[in-house]
This record gives sequence, C-alpha cells and structure tokens, in this order.
Amino acid sequence: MLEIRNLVKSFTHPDIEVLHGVDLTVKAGEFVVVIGPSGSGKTTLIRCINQLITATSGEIYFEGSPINGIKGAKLRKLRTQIGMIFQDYNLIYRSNVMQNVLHGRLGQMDTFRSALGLYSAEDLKAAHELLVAVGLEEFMHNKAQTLSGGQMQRVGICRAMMQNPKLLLADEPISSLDPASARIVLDQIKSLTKARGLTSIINLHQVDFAKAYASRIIGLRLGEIVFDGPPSELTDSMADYIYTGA
Amino acid sequence: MYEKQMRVKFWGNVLFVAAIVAVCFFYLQLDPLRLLTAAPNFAQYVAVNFFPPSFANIQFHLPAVLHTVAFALVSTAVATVLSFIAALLMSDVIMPYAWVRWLVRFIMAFMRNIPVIIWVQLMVFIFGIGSMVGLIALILATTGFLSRSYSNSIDEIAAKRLEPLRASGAGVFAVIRHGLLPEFVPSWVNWTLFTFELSIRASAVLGMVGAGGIGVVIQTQLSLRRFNEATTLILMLILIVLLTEFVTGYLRRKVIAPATAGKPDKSTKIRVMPLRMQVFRWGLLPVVMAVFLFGLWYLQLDVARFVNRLSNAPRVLRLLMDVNVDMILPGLQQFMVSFAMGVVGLVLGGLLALVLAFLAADNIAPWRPLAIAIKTFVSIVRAVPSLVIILMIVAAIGLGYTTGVVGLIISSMGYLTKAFIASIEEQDKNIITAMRSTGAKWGQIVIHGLLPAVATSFLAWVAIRLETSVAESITLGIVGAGGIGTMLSRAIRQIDYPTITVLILIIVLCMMLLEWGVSWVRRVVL
Repeated sequence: MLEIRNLVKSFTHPDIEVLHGVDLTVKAGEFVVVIGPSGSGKTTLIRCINQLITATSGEIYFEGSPINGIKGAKLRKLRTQIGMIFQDYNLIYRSNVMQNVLHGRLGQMDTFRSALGLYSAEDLKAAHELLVAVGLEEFMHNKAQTLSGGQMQRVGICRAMMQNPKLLLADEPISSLDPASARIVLDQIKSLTKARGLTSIINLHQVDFAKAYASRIIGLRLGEIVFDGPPSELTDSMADYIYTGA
Repeated sequence: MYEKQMRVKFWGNVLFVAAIVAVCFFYLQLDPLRLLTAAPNFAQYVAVNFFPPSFANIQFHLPAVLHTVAFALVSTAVATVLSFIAALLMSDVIMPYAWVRWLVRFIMAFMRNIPVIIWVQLMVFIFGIGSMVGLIALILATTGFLSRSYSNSIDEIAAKRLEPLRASGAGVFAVIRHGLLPEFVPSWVNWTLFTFELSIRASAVLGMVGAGGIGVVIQTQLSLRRFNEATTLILMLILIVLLTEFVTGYLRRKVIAPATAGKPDKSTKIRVMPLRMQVFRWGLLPVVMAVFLFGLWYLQLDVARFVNRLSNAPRVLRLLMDVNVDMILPGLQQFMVSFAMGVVGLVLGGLLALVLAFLAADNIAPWRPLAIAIKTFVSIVRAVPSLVIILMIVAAIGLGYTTGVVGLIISSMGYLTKAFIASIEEQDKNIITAMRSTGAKWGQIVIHGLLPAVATSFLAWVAIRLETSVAESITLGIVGAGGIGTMLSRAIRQIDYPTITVLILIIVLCMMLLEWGVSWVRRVVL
C-alpha cells in the first residue's frame, strides 16, 4: 500500500540531513508505530508521505504510483486519501466542533461548494456519527477553543476520519495529553481504524504505549531505521539503544 | 557592580536622546523660551477667543458632520476588502510566487508612506476638487496601513492553523474561507475599528483641501475668525470620535470574548451550527450592506466628473515622469526639517505623557480627581486632528517651526499618554501593593517598581509613534508649519511637476527607510 525507497531529506539553514536513505514498506491494514527520540526524523518521515515536506531524493509509492514531488490537483487528490492527526490538534479554534470535523470533507468537494461550506446531508450525518463514536456529540456546536486538550484531539481524529482516508498519519498525537486522555485517544484511533480497515502510521514518544497498540514497530534513530518488527521483539535493551544509542 | 553598569547604561541612553533633541533644536533654530511660553499663550488665547461655543449655525453644520462619518464608513469598508486581498497576496502560504508578494508589499508600503493629505493634494491636482478624490485618497492611505496589519495577523495564523486543511487536500479558497477567516476575525475587528477611528480624524482633515466634510467648515470658521462657532464644530468632532471609541470598544469586547458553550439545539436535525446563529449570520449581511450603501448615497459622489477627468491622468503622469535633479538636496534638507520637528515633538510629548500616565493610571494614580481630569483631557486632545490643533495654534501664535513642534507635542502626548496608561494598568497590582507595604512613596514606586516593568513596552510605543510623528510633521507642513510639506505644497500650487516628483519620491523613500529602521529596532533591540 505504501512503499518508501531510499528516502533522503536534508534541510538548509541549518544545513543538516535528517533522513539518510530510509526504506520502508507498509501493507494494507497495518498499525505501524514509529518510535525514536526527538530529532530522529519521525516527523520528517511522516510529513514526506503526504508531501507537507518534499523529500530531497528517493521515491515514495502510494498504492503503486510514485508521489514524491507531485503538485497541484494531483497532490490535493493524494492528500484527500491520507488523513492526518497533529500533535497540537491544529483545530480552527473559533469554529465549532461540527465545522472542524466537516473540514475533513473540503478537499473532496468542488470549489464552489467547499468555499461556501455547503456540506451534503450525508456528510452531516457522517460527522455526527463520528462525534457519537468519540463521545463528543453533545459538544457539537461548542467552539473548539472551549474544549480540553483530549477533547480537541478527539475532534482531530474525527476530522481525519471524515476524509474517508485509506491511510492515517498521526504525528505524536498524545504528547500534549495526560496519560488518561492519551489512552482514550489511542483507543479511539485504534478502534476507528480497525473498523474501517485503515492502514495507520503513528509517531509516538512512549515505548510502552507503542508496545500496547502497535501491530508493528519501527525504531528510528538519527535518520535511520534501526528496528523493524512486531512489539514482542522490541526488547528493553533495543528500546534503550533506539533512545540513547547505548 | 551590575547595578553600576545598569546606571551607566541608563544615563548613557538619556544623554543620547537629549543630544538628539539638542541637535534637532539647533537645526530648527528653536527658541526654548518661546516653546515654553507657546503653550500657556496658546491656552490663554483659546480660553479667551474660543469660549463660549456658539451654537448659532449648528443646523447648517450638521450635514457636514454626517458627511465626515460617511466618509470614514465607506472608506473603511472598501479598504477592508482591498487590504484583505492585498494581505492574502502578500502571504507566502496563499501566494506561491515570490515576485507577486514583493510587488504587492512594495505597492502597499508606497501607499501608506504618503500621508493622506498629500494623496489628496496630488489627486486634486489631477482630478480637481471633489468628494470622490477625498474618498479615494482616504482609501489608498487606509489600505496601505491596514494591509500591513492584516498581513502580520495572517502570517501568525497561517504558520500553524492552516496545515490540517492543506493536508486534507482542501483547495486554496476553502483554506481561506474555513481556516483563515474564522481565526482572522478578532484581529480583523481590532484593526478595522482602529482604522475607522483614524479615518474619522483623517476625513475631518480632508475637508481642508475641499473634499467636503467637517474639516472645510472648521477651516472656514477659523479663517473668518469666528472662533466660537469653530469651537462648536470641534466639540461635535470630539463627540463623534468619543462616541466611535465607545461603540468600537463595545464591539471589540463583544466579538473577541471567548464564546460560551452553545445551548443544545432542540431539533433533531443535524446542523453545522445552531439555526439561530445561521439566521444571525445571514441577517448581518444585509444590515452591513444597507449601512454601507446609505453612506455611499449620502456622500453624493461626483463620479461622472471624476470619470470625465480620468482622461487627464495619463497626461499628468507623463509630466510627473520628469525629475528636477536640482531639488534633491534642498528636498532632503527639508525632509530633515520635518524629521527633526517630528523627533522633538515626539520626545517632548513623550516626556509629558510619561508624567501624565503615572498620574492617571488607575492602579498608581495618587489623586483620583486629577487622574479623571487627565484622562478626560487626553481623550479630548486625541479626538481633535492635529491639523485642526495646528490651525488653532496658527491663529494664536502665527506660523513657523515652533507652531509645528507645539502641535506635534500635543498630538504625541495625546497618543502616548493613552498607550502608556494602558501599559501601566496591565501591570500586576501586587508589585504596587508589595512596595507600598514597605512604606515606599509614590515616586519611589513609580521609579523603582513600575518604570522598569513598563520600559520595554513604552519604548515600543514610542518607536511606533515615530513614524506617525514624522508623517504628521510632513502633513503639518502643508498648512505652512515648514519642512518638506510646505515645499511640496508650494510646488503643487506652482504646478512644478519635476519638483513634485522629486519631493514625493524623497518622502516615500525616506518614510520607507524609517519604517524599515523602526521595525529593525523593534526586532533587534526591544
């Protein structure tokens, strides 16, 4: 479903190479968790997939077709098939919860309808069902800025699901949350993606959470994959190596 | 040791500013004694000649007042739309082509760095006197200013909030409408209402060059020495400005206040937002349109004549392509005069404001009645456009640099006192309580407790004000206070195209340099 070959990304100012030739193949339905310390390239890797960052070299194939460097309408079409959940939720705070969820549909509506926000009845129904699923339906018409962090992230999940994506990306979705909210958020991501048969790639900081939720764990260290396997194979010493190099 | 270093640095800065002011004084050959006596003389003159107000012809003047409000209303409305489009074109999230962004930025900088009154003079020159000219000049200057403020706000939002929408494949219009606009509303309201207040003052000034409104009436009354009637008009102007401030303050609080939880909708139908909100939103549109159209209708714009004269424009523009190189040096010298007047006015007005602000801020004011008196005085002074103040000073003590500087001191004082008070009142009350509990006197609390805490924000206000002060100084030149404004005014009267071109270029370039310098200082030093 997703194939990454020899992906390199370097930034200018400051001049550093963040990813040094990453190879990764993800099969449909996998729940992949990427772990690694800050600066290991997790965020860069995930953002190269939906082209929020353009990789310097290498190839990315999404369902068989190359996507690195595509532009314009093709890029937007690709992005409609990839949902994303952000670390800081990135909701439109002054819009209400319903509007934020519906934003997930905008990319799949024509210019006229999307600019005016003319959502179809099915979209409204789907958005409502998602909010019921994450337990936020009573907050439907509250402004996003009035929610707690955990609630905001659950709106973020709904927004990504609203796209009906084939692939879900999540960039440290729980690192701004307390442990209880974090568990709720991960539970909901897991159950919603499973119910819809989605493929997921999640960046996480916490090894214990990764082991509890992942079907496959990728260990990223200094821009290279140093571990790739099921949670059961991730030993404590391996986890130490990923995080401290020792 | 550290304490001593700080003290040396502090007195070094004081000396530096004092030296600059001294140089400006010397350059303008100002007489400190004359400056000192100017204020009391002026106050006495006003007290004797301008009071009591005469309400004799008020019914003839009322339409002019409404005209002024309509000017501000229509120009702000149009400028808002233009500025938003310009700000989008200046944002690198929306506009992918760098050259377009820079071009628009340059045009906007050009527009805001020519003072309104010079825009008016230039356009009167091409199109003749008329309300259309005044309106367009006002729109140009306001758009230049607003687009910069909008673009700063948009950049802040775009940095983070818009990524999810782009990541889900939304098109650029959808990103603007659903991502940018909702987040932009608070700063939009803030800036737009702020410029509306400015426009009221500016449109009062427009009248002075025959564009209609209350300004022309005030000027007529002053030149006919019917001071008591002029007082009535100025009072009406003050009333409008204070009223606007009150209404905009209310709107600001209303719109920006974080929304409380929405009441659950009773109907079972799933809606994007509650029905009453949808109704309110769509209901607002016709109301706003109606107010705008009423203002437009009330202005009775001379569109036909304007369009007729439009054919003049290419000819005039061709003539303006000529440059009189001999005027570059004298022009720069006169700009320095305007600049020096602006600096002196700013520094002296700033010092006055410093004292007034500490006497008037709620949390530190030593004596309440005095605080109320100062606040009232300041809002009255702020309401009167500086050009009107200058005309009053001209009537009292005649023309010259002293007149200009006094006018600039008064307007800088008005602006900075209000800004300073706001900064002081933001300070934690506990600092003051803590110091008071040690038995510190008022002066000690101010110097050791508050001043260090507010110094940075005060300096930021002064830096922002510098641009305005110099722009005002140029504007004042138009009525004969000296500097490049006077020179330009003369060149326009003499229809001396090459000189006009040189002077305008000097003004724009120097003002851009100043704007750039101020933003550099704010970024690096503050």
